[in-house]
Amino acid sequence: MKNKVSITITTLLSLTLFIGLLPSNATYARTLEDVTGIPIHFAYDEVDYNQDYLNGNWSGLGDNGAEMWDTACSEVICNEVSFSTSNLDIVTGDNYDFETGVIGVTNIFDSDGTNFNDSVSNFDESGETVYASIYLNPDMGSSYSTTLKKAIICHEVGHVLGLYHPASSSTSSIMSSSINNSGFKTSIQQYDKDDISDIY
Amino acid sequence: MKKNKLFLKIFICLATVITMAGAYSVFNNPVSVSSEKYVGSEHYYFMKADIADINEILKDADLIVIGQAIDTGETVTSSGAYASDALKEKYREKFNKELTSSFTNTTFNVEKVMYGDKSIAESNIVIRQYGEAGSDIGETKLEKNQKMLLILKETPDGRYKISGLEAGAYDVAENDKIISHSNDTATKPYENKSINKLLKDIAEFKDTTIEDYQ
Repeated sequence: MKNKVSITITTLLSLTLFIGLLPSNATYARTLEDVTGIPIHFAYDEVDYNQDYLNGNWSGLGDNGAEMWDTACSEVICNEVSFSTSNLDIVTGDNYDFETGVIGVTNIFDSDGTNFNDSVSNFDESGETVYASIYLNPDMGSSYSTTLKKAIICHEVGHVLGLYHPASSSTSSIMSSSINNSGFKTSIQQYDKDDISDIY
Repeated sequence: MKKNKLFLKIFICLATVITMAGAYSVFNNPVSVSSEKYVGSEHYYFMKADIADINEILKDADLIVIGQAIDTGETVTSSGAYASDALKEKYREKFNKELTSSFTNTTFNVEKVMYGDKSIAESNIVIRQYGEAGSDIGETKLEKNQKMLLILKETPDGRYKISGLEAGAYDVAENDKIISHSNDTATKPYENKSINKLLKDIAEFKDTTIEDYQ
């Protein structure tokens, strides 16, 4: 009798925890490469950015946002250059129709000029990004601290480098998809550095 | 008797190994277990701020309807939006072509108009969403035959888009409770609640009368 009870309890406990080993479609985390199979990465050794058209609430913050990566990750080099030679333009999206709640949009282009945001299926399967532009919403940011605005630009530059939003909103990362997520941080985290190391 | 004891010992050893492996998986593999909802726009290269109040999306709404998608959507390509003329020039020079954007157009059969042009009832409208058909990257796409309440904004070409991305899209369950497609704070008070709770707040914000949905 004692044996039967022991076996039943042990079996139930084992089965319950064994479920933790099984992936479920409804809850399984998805990364960019999981979803698209495309290993997005920047084609050049250096990110040459320009912020001549970054105005209003965001004016002059492009260098801080880009160079946060330069400082935190030895693999990333960012330089401010002229608009004619830049491979990343950080601008205010004056003519862009931002959806409610959207602060910034990053456009990354392959060698054919296909924007990943607009056509994932047509993006070069090598994932090589040859040019990028970041649009910041001119109607947002007035109530944000300078630290937060720099972090938002840094987040968008992270996309240019090939980083995606973490699967969980509670993961500590500057790449969290919303500034209101519990995991969103205004500085580059170990999670982000590890991702950069994986790509470069 | 001895055999039984040996069997029990082996069984407990095996169960302990499986239990420890399961526990290790749960506690050391945070990416494998998440109870969070899948929201398509979170997988776009957008940075979002939380939509805290439903009024943020209602202020832009031209039409609020209940109905269902009658197809699985079609990918359409249209002119892309440049941030400025300077970028437009640069893109043209660099790639020798014009920027394009992909959207999904889905035909939506309107059962009832809760707010807006009542003549649209019992007809079809086209809903435009970010991203390609068959992919939830961009926005979580409308599912064919799923009854939904949509808070919509008219586009310049006479189609409609969902206000606030997924924050304006709700599945309507058989018991008339609604499930939001978004994680925004604005939608939380209505999650798994009667559709009439949301309709009451819409009526109040739009300063109009909306009958209970039955």
